Amino acid sequence: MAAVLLIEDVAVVRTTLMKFLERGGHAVTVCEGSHEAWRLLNQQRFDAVVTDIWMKDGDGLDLIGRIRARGDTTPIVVITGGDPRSPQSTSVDAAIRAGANQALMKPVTKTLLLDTVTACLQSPGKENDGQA
Amino acid sequence: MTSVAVSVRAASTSDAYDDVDGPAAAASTSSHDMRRTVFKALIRVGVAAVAVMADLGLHRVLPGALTALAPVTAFAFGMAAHWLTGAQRQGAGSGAEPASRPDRAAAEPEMVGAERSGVTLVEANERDGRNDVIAFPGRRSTPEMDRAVQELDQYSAFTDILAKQLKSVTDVSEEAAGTILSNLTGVDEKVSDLLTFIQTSGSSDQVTQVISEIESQMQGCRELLDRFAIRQRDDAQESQRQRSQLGADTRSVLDALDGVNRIARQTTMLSLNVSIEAARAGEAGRGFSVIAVEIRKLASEVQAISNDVHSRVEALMQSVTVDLSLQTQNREEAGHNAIANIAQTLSALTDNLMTLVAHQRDILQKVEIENEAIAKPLMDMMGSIQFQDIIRQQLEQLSRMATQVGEHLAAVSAMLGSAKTDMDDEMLSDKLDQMFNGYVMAGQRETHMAARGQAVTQDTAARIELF
Repeated sequence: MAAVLLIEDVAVVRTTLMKFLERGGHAVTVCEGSHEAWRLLNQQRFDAVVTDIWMKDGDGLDLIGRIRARGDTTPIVVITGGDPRSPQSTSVDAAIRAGANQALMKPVTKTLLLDTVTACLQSPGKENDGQA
Repeated sequence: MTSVAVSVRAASTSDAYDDVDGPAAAASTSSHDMRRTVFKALIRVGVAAVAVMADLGLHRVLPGALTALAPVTAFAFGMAAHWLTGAQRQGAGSGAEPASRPDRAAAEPEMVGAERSGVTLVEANERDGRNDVIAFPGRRSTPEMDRAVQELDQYSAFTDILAKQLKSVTDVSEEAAGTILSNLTGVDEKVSDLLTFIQTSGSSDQVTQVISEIESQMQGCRELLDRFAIRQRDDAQESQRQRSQLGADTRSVLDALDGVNRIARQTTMLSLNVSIEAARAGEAGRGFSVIAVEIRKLASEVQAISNDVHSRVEALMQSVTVDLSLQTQNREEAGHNAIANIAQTLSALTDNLMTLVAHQRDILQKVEIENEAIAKPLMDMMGSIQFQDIIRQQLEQLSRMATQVGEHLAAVSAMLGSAKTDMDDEMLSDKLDQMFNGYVMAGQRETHMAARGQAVTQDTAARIELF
C-alpha cells in the first residue's frame, strides 16, 4: 500500500480515480488543484502523485516542474484528457518532458492506472531532465 | 452597423469601384472576383463548420441550439454572398446577369462620380435626395449589403447563446454523471464489503481452521472413548479377580467344612470303639456305653450339618460366580457396543460437518466469484463516467469554435463596412485547419475529415493515436 496524492479538478473523474486507487489498496489523499497539492506536498510525504495537467486553478506541468526542481523524485503519473489548445499527444509529451514518470490519456481503466502506479513505485525516481 | 455608414470619406484608391477606366478598372474587377471567390469559400467553410460541429456530437446534446445555429450561419454567409451578386445585378441596372465594370460604371454615374470626386455616398444621397443606396465609407453600398452586415453582426448573439447553452449542457451532464457515480459508488462499496466479509470469514484458512477444530474435537472424543474402553477392561479384570478371590475364599470354607466332617466321622468311629470297650467291661462300662452313644449322635449331627453347609456354600459360590461372570460379560458387551455406536456416530457427524463445511465453502466461492464478476463491470462503469470530462472538453471546444466563427464573421462584417479588401483575420479555412490540429481525440479528427469529405485512412488514425 502506498500513500498517493491525487490531483484532479473534475469531481466525477476525481472520485473515479480515487476509487480505482483505493481498490488497489492505496491510501489516497485527494485535492482539486495544484495550489492545494503543493501545500499538501510540503506538509507530508507521498509515495506517488497522480495528477491531471489542465486544471482550473493552474497548470499541472508547473506543479510537476516545482516538484522536480526541489529534487523530489516521487513518482508522478499524469492523467490527461488533453486540452482544447493542444492534442493529447502534445499534453503527454509535455508531461513527460516536465518530469512525469508516466502519462495516461483519459479515459483510464482501473487496471491500467494501478499497473502504471505500481510500475512507477517499483521503478527508480525520475529527476527533472531540464527540458520542461 | 449603421455607425460605420456615415461621414467617412472614401479614401481608398484601390477599392473596386472608385475608378472604372484603364488599369484601375482591371484591378477592381480582379479584387471583386477575389472577394466573390472568398465569400463562396466562406459559405462552403461555414456550412462545413456547422456540419463538423453537428457531427462532433452537438446535435445529440443541444439540438435546439444547433438547429438555430445552422440556418443562422448559413444565412449570414448567404447574405454576404448575396450582397456580391446583388451588387453586380444592381451595377448592371437590372436582371440576373452581372454587369461588366464599364457597363456598371455607366449605369451608376452618380455613385462612381461621387466616389471619384471624393464625396461620400451619404453626402451624394443627401445631395441627390436618394435613399435607396446606403453608403459605407469608401465603398459602394446597397440595402443587401447593409442587411448582410447587420445579419453578420447578429451572429455574435447566437454564439453567446450557444456558449451558454453548451455550458448548461456541461453542467447538466456533470450533475448527472455525479449522480450516476454516487450510485455506482454505493453499490461498489456494498459489493466490496461483501467481498471482504467473504474473503475474511470464508477464506480457505478459515475453513481449514474450522476443519482442524472439528478434527481436534473428534480426536478428543475418540480418546475419551478409548479411556472408557480401557476402564471397562480394567473393571472386567477387577471383577474377574474378585470372582477368583471369592472362589478361593469359598474353597477354604468348604475345606474347613470337610475338616469338620472328617472330625465328625472320626468321632463316630471313636464312639463305636468306646461302646465296644464298654460292653466288654460289663456292668461297669454301662455308663460309658451311654456316653458313647450320645457322642456318636452328636458326631452324626455335626456331620449332617457340615454336609448341609458344604452343599449350601457350593451352591452359593456357583450362583455368585455365574451371576458375576454374566454381569461382567454383559457389561463388557454393552460398553463395547456403546463405544462402537458413539464412534460410528462421531464418524458420521464428522462426515456431515465436512460436507457442511465444503458446501459452505462452495457457496462462498460462488458468491465471491459472482461478486468479483459484479465488481469489475462496476469499476468499468465508474471508469466510463470519465466520458463526462471528455464531453465537457468537447463542448468547450465547440463553444470556442462557435466563438471563433462569430469573431470571424465580425471581421467579415468589418471588412464589408470598410474600404479594405483584405481582412486582418485569418481565412476561415485556416481556422478549420487550426480546429483540426486542436482536436484531442482521434474520433474528433476522423469526424472532422468525414464532415469535410476527406477520406479517413488507417494510416491517419494510426498516426493520430500513436505518439
